[in-house]
Amino acid sequence: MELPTVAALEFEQLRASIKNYIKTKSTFTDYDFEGSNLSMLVDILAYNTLYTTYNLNMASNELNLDTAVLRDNIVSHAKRLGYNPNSYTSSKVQADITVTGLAALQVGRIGLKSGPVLSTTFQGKNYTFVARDALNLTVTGNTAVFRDVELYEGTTFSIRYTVDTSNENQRFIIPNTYIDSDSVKVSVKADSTSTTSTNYARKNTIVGVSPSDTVFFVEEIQDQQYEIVFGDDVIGRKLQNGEIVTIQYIITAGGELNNVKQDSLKFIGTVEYVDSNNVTGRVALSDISFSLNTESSFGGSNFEDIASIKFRAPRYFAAQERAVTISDYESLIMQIYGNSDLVKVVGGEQLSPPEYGKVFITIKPKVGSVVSDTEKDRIVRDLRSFIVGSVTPVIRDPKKYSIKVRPQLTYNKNKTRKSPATLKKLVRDIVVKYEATDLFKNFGGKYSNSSIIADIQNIDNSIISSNVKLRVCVEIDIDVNNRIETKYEGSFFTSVKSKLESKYAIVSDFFCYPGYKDPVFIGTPSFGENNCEVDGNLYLIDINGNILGVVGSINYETGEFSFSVASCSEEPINICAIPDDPNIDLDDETYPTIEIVDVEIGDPDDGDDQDLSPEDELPVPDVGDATGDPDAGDGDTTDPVTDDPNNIITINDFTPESDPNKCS
Amino acid sequence: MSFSVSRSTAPTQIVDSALGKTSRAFKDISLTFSKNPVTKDLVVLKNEEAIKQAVKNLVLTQVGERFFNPYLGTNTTSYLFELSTSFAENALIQEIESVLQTNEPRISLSNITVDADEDMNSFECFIEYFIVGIPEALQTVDFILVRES
Repeated sequence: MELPTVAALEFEQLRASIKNYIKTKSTFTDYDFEGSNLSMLVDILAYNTLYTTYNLNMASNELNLDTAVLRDNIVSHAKRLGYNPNSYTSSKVQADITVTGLAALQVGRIGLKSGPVLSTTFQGKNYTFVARDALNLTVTGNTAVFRDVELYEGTTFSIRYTVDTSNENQRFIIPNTYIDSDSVKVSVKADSTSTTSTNYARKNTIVGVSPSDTVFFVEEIQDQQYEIVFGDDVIGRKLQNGEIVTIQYIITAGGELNNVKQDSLKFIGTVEYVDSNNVTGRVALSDISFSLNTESSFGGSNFEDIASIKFRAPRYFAAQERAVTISDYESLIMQIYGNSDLVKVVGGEQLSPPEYGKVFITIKPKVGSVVSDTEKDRIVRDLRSFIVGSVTPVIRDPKKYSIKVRPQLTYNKNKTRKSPATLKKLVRDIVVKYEATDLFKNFGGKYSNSSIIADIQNIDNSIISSNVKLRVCVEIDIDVNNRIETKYEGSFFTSVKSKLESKYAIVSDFFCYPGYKDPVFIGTPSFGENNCEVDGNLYLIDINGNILGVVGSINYETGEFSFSVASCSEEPINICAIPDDPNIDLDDETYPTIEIVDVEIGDPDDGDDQDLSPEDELPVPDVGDATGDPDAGDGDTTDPVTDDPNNIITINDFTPESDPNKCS
Repeated sequence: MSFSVSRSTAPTQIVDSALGKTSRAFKDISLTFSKNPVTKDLVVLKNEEAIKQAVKNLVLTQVGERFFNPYLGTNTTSYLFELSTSFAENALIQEIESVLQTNEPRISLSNITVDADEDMNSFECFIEYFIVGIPEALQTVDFILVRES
């Protein structure tokens, strides 16, 4: 007997299937008249079957990590792979808290109470940074300093449970979504009358956990809440009936409170003292000051999203909690540092010259541009427990590469109903979509101009021609380094134009150079008979265009450059050029971004003749917020170098060409 | 006060009969799901009773009510909330005529009459039709549309 087909998932197919069955029986005859009662019953049967098949289809989708869409199920699958999704993470600051006026009080000891220490206001709401533990200091003079105090953004809460072993289903749940799971502290006491409690240690794996260890695990459960799981006398100590479990945790705003600077923080903590007569008191707020050891708050992040869990969980499982291959390192770092957006790991042996025994890790954080030194230390410390052999992890800051695009198109307005504003938006959408592609948005990303131009051309049939003009900028992190001249290297990762209609083939942002009261920039001025030639040098140029000296060189074919400058400001500078080849292929520690300068749209019938040739103008950027050296004297402003190899004195010598084809 | 509107349709059943069409036996279940006292089986509606039930079902089915068949049915109840004018009756007749001609091939409509009772806010509908293949037996279905209280 032929088996019935059960693949039907559409209502009409199911209905036809039921009718086909009834046709084989002589009991009923009215099934194919829409108004009949039997037809209504057939409809209901088909609808019911449709629901069942749909639910079955959705339920079976939820059985696999790849196809599941509900967070609870995805988290459950990830848990089976040993992966615990990242919770909200508090933003942190590290501060020195100075207490003065202690001699007059004859203070012997002081203590900083745990709880709120600093407060700030963000978008009309108050937030606090709390100390997780109380700190004590013995005082010997008039001043005492609590050094490197780690403060976490959030509010501390606690919840108590009484263990009931008769209830097999008892669970220890933290009833909040916004907790920082790293902040969870658990203490257990024998009963409600007991005055001492045991602090339990958090574990992420069962490795090395003995039956008597007082440990707990934190797991995400349904509705994005968190559960504390205790041992079973095989893996960790089992809780006994009547014991009181106190769970302390921090509820945080996550990544929102990153980049809070000292100016916007206020001390609200409590410092208590014990004097020589054992009398306690509270130090006045006016005697307490603080200074941040970090530039601003950092490290906060929101909970891990579904896409990220799906991506990371299998890779984390493949890493098997040990760092051997490059992908092991990448997945472990993404787990250790929840704020990581992009991670790239390169073995030292692949570098030129090779550095054996080292692994170079580049992390681009989701919030902020670089990972702070404190966080780097923590990541390396956490990573060490996974590293096999004597490999040294080195965390490097990512390099930023900006591609400034200026899309242009000409179109026939009589052939489309789209307005210029609509076309502009569509062009912007194409660029934004391109920026989000995996090929581009990654360390070692690739950019292709032709791909964007082709997409723009396909927007509408009315588009006659299109082009994308490019400038590329490399961000160089200039270091003050005690005002000592330091060498910097970089690359545009493509050949760059040396002959331009503008005054400079390469220009940088203005920055502070020691000894000059106005800011300066790095550039390559054109010179020669037609002012169309450049040499391979990078020059330091002052605000009036006077050359101050040769500071480096550039290879126009490869785009690689190096220069040596001293600096009196920490602000990074962009060095910009116009690419000769619009196909750009970055290296492993550089990530690209796209900035849309403008979208130019014209209709030739209206006399809008777009210049669709490649970019050939590289203007000197605005001075902006850049300042000169405040310690410089008046006479230091315009001291041109006397040994200029081109004998160029002032900017007036770089007269722009009037003939647009002269330098081509 | 009450008034009525009626419309006669061509008796196509005769033509059908002339073409030699014969009606077959129709069997449908009753939605009362009551038991036949003799056979102890589900009550079965046969022939003209089955068709009469189908006509009522079609007219009283609201548009959008049927799963995955949103155009089946009429908007009869919505006319109860409109001013009782001859326009409403005509529209009601058109709706009934349309749904029956489209979905009930077993009948040939003869006449549809709608009586509006303004005081009771109701319409009384009479539908007369022939069963295709049985020319002599004029069938009548009548029902009253009232606002649900």
